[in-house]
Amino acid sequence: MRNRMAVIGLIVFILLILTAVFAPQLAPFDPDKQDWRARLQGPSAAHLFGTDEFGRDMLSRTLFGGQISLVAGVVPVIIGATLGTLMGLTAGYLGGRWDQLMMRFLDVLLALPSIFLALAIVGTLGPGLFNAMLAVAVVSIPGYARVVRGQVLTLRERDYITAAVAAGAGHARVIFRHLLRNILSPLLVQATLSVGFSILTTASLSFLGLGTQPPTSDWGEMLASGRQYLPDAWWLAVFPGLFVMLAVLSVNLLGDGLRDFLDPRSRND
Amino acid sequence: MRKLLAPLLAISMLVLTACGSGSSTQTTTPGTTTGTPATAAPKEQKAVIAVGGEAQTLDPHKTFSGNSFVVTNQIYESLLARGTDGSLQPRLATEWKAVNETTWEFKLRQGVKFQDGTPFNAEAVKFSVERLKNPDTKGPGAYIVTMIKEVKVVDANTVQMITDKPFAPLPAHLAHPVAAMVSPEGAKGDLGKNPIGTGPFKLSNWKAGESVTLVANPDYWGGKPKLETVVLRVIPEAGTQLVELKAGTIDLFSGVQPEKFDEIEKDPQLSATKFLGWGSFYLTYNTKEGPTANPAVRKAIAMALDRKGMVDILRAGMAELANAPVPKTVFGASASLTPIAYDVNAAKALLKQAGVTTPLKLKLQTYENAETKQIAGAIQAQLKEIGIDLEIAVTDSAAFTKDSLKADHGLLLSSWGTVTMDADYAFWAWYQSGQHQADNKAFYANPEVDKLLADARGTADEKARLAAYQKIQEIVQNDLPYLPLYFGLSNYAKNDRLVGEVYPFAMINLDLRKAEIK
Repeated sequence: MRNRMAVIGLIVFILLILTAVFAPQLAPFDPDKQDWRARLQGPSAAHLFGTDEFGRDMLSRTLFGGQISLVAGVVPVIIGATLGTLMGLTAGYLGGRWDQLMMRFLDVLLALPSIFLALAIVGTLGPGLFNAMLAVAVVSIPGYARVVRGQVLTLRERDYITAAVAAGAGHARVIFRHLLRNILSPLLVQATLSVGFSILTTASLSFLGLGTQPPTSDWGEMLASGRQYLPDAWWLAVFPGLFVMLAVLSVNLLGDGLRDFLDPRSRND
Repeated sequence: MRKLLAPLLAISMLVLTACGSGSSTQTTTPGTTTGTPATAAPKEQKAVIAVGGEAQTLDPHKTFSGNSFVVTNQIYESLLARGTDGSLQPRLATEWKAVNETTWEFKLRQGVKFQDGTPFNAEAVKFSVERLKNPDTKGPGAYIVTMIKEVKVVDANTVQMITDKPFAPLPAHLAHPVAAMVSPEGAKGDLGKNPIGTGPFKLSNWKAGESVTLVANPDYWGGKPKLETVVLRVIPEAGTQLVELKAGTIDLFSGVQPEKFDEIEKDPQLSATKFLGWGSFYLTYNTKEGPTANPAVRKAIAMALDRKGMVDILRAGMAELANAPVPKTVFGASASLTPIAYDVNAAKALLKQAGVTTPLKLKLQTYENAETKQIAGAIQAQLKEIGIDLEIAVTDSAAFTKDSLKADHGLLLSSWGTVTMDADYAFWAWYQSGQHQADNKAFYANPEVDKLLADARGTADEKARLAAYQKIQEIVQNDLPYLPLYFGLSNYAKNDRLVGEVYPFAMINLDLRKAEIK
C-alpha cells in the first residue's frame, strides 16, 4: 500500500518534471507574450487555463513556471544537504569544541521561524530567485545536520569504525568512506521530504515579491499576481496553486515511501 | 501527521490566496452600520471610511504623506481650501488679495477657536507658518512655504505674507493640507499624537495599525457636523475594501479597481464616481547617466509604448491619455500639445539610426502597488519589441524614494499629484535645475526652462504665466526628461446611505462637514 502511494508520487513528480523540461514544446504560446485584448479570459479551447491580466496564456506560464519552481525545489536541497551533512558529519565525528560550536550555531538557526529567517536573508541579499533559493538552503541546514549528527554519534562507536581507525585510516577517509556511506539512506529520505518544503518556501518568497522577478514567473509569483483579480478570475490562482500542491504532494508521498523502504524500524509498523 | 503537513500547507496557501486579507477584517463592528430596513429609529451618525495605509503622524507639519493628510485634514484646516470645481475657496481666511508684487494679505475668519479653546487669530497664523517653515520642525513639506520671508500681523484678524520674490501661486500653496493651522498652545505638546486644529472633527481614539476614530467638534465654526463619529480604518487592499463596502461594514473608499467600477454602479445600494483629478502617472528618464542620457533612446521608448492601450484596456477607462505633463484641471496645463504617437517601427528605426546596439539593458524602478506593477509589466513587454531588456525592481515606497535619488538610476515609474492645482508646483519640482536632490529625478537642466519657471512664478499676470507654461511644456516634450503616460482618474465608491460628502479631487480633501447617514 505504502509503496503504491510512493510509486504514484514518483510518477506524478516525473510527469511534472517532464512537463517543465518540455515546456517549450508543450506550451501553446510564448509565456511572456502579452495580448491585452484577450486579458482575463476564463479557460477555453484556445487558452485551456485562461489568460492573466496582460492576456498571457496561463497554461504556457504554468508549464514554464514549473521549470523555475522545480529547480527551486531541488537546488536548495542540494546546497542545504551538502552544507548540513558536512556540519553534521564533522560535528558528530570530531565532537568536543567543534561539536559545541556547530550545534549552538544550529540552535540559532532553529530559534527563528524558518520563513522569518528566509525573509531576513532575502531582505539582506536583495530579491531574486537565486537569493531566495540560497535563503531556503540556509533554512534547511539544521534539518540535515541534526539527522546526520545523530546517525554519526551511533555509528562512530561501531566496531568497523574502530577497526578502520585502528588500520590507520585518516579522519577524512573515515568520515567520507565509512560514515557517509552508512547514513545515506536517512539523508536521502530527509532530502526528498525537503523538496516539497523548498518548493513551497520559494513559492512563498515569490508570492511576497522576493523571489522570481517579472516577467519570469514561478508558481508562487503567478499566485501573487493573480490575487488582485481573484474574485472574478479563479483560474489565476487555481492552476498554479494546483501545480504547487501536486508537486509537494508527490515528493512527500515519495519521501514517505522511501523512508518506509529504507528504515527498518518504520517498516515494522 | 508530518507527512500531511506539506500538502496541507500547499492547500492552505491556495485558500489564503482566495481570501486575500479579507478574512481578518470581516466582522469588526457587527450590527452597527449594517444596512437595516427603514425604521423610525434615527440612524447612528457614524461613517466608516477605508484608508489604504496608516498615518505616520497626526502633526500636519511633520509629514508629506497622503495617509496622514487624510486624517489631519479632518482635524485641521488651512487658510484656503480647494472646491470641487478647482477654485480656491475661503476656509480660515475669508478674503485674500495681493497688496503688491511680494505681499499677500489675508483677512481671517472671526470667532474661530481651536479644539483646545485657544483662539484662532493672526498670531496663530504666524505661529503655524513659521513652525512649518522652521528647519527644526523637519517638515518634508516645508518647501510649500519657504518663499514666505515674513508673516506680518497687521491686526488680530489680518495677516500679510511677504515673499522674498514675487510668487503668484502663494494662495494655492496655502490651500495645501500641509499648510494647516495648528493650535500654538497644542503645539507645546505632541501634535502627532494629540492633534489640535480648528476642523470639524477631533481625535477620539487611535488604534495603531487599525483605525483612527474622530468625533464631531461641537464648537466648529461652521456648525457641528451631523456625523457624530468618523472612523478611518486601515484596509490595504482595494479588493478587500470593496468586499467590506458590499458587506456594509465601510461607507466609502477611494481607488476603485478599474474592472470593478461598473459592478459598483449597478448595485442599487452603492455608487461610484470618477473624474479627472490632479494626478499624473509618468516615467522618469535619467537624462544624465546611462543609455537614457541619449535623447534618441528616450524618444524611442516613448514611441514604443501603447499608452492608449494602457488607458483603454489595462486601466479599463479609469484614466485619460496624457497629452501634457499635468491634467487640464491644473492651471497652466497645455491644451494644445498632442502625445507622442505610438509607432513601434519608427521607434526601432530611431534606435538603429542613433547607433544604439540592441538588446539594450535597462532597469526600471517602482514601488509596491497594484497599478505600478501592472504598468511596469506592460512597459517591459512593449520595450522588448524594440530590443530593450527591462529589469523591473519593485520596492516599498520609502526605499524607492531613496533609490530614485541615486545618480545611476535608469527609469522610474511613479505618480504625482499636483495638489496646489497650479503648474508651478509640478514643473518647478520636476524641471528646475536646482531640484536634483529633490523631485527633479530626471536630473534635467535647461537654462531656458529655469528662466521661464522663474518668470512664471514671478508674475501675477495670468496670461503671461500661461504662455510661459505652454512654452515649458513644448520644450520638455522635445527634451523628454519625463514621459507622461496618463492621468489616472480620481474615484471613490460609497454606500448610498452616506450623503452630503464633498470630494474635491482627492481623498485627502474629503469634506464631511455636511455629510450624514440617511
